[in-house]
Amino acid sequence: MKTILAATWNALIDRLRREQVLGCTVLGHGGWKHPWQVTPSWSFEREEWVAQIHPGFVNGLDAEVRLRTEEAPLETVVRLGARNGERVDSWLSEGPQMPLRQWRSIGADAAPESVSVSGFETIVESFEPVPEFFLALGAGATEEGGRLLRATEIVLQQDRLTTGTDWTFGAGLDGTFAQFNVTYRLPPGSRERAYLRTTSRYEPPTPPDPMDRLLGRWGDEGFDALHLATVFLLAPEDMPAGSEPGPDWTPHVKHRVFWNLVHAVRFEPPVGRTENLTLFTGLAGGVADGLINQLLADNNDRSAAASEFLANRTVEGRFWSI
Amino acid sequence: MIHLRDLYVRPGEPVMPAWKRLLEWSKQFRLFAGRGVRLQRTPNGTYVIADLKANPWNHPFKVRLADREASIGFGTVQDVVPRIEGKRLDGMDDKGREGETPTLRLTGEPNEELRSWIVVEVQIDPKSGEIDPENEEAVTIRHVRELRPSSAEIGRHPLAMLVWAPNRTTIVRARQITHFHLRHLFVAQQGSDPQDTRGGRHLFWAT
Repeated sequence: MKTILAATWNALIDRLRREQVLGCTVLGHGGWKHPWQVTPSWSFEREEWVAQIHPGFVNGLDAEVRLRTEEAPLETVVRLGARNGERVDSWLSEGPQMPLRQWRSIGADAAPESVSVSGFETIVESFEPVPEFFLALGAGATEEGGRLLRATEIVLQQDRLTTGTDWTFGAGLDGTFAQFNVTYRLPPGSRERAYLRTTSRYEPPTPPDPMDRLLGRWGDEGFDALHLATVFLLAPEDMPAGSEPGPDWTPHVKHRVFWNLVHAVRFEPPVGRTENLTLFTGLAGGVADGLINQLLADNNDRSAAASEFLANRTVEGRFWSI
Repeated sequence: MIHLRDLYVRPGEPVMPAWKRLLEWSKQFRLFAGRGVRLQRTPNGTYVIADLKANPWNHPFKVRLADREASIGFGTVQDVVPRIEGKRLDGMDDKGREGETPTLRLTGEPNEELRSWIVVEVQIDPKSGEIDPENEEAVTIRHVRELRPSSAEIGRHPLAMLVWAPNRTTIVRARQITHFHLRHLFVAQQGSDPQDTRGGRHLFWAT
């Protein structure tokens, strides 16, 4: 046979017609969703990607999302009596739609994470690797092209007291003394409930430099954070580099937390309280920095005492699941 | 599996081998209905209907509402079975005989924010700082409008949050908070007398 019969040709077309998917309907029956489960969708009303998050609880209270009044659910607006233009905190049990606006590019049109120079002329750029799952779906590595990929991170934060340090100096009868002060305060605008925020890239807080802490130049961030989920958007084929995510992009979510949480700090000092450790140096006069250097470099005992004093008085929080 | 590049033809190339490859490739477009999925085929295409019947998960402390009552699934705190108004959560009496499981009456009103909680309360022995399994009131389930307990001797842990309608009489829904059996630890306040339970914290975690 060197020709294709019309009937054969049409049989193929018929088969492809029958098998093409015209529509897909999902009949939900209130299936179980885990706390913090993220459901991204395109909001035609707001013309942006939003995420609805199944209520997750921290210490028995559902976390909140800060929104403009126009974006907030009616239940939130009624509860707070909010007016347009204000920022309101909507509880997850009120069903807010969290805007997803801070995207980073991965793969085809990504910017390098870091650039280094090797030798005299070679510039080495390093890129965030494309997850294997998306490589299989056609997202390409940076040099190879392919479908565009965007990602944003959803982070849970719980405010708490901050710990700060400073030194005061004075002259006593038998020499100079240095007083190491540890102060606790509640940062302005602190929120009682845990809250969610989005960021294009999640970076876990770096532990503070022990020397900075001892030198009295330190104050911690005043919150604990937990990385909840990453939302990815995969572009259709042939989307030009740098495109903004639209309704025809496909969302995928990588969850990292599946259960409700408890958050507690190691200990709870009263707000505004200052605790101090006085160290007698026996050195007469002296400039502050010189004294600190003397304390830290030459006097191991006193340095260790200050470190231990601080370690026992630093407010740190932890999350755990229930 | 056929590589998509193999489907292309060049001018002048015999069409039959390419046609066979195309036929082979088109077979993959056959739709198969998985579990809970129905296919409605028409000459012009197929509609996919996914009927997702979720299996219920009867996890510990699962709260079910029925008007102004709630039933609470079996769960333990530090291996102790909680009680509702003196009755064990599993319905067993003190002689090990099976009886009816108790229900929690949701009396009272919500707080100003139209919320209330079903909680498990733990009362510790002041001397040991631990739950006394002999004490029938040591682990109880209650309905409360605030999460803060009345005294430091009592630890309060939320099982579910209830959302009320603005009329303050109808409960709209329950939001489950706890999904597992619990462990409990009382941590005395730093520097305080270990037997002084006026200062300290109750920590709960899943097991």
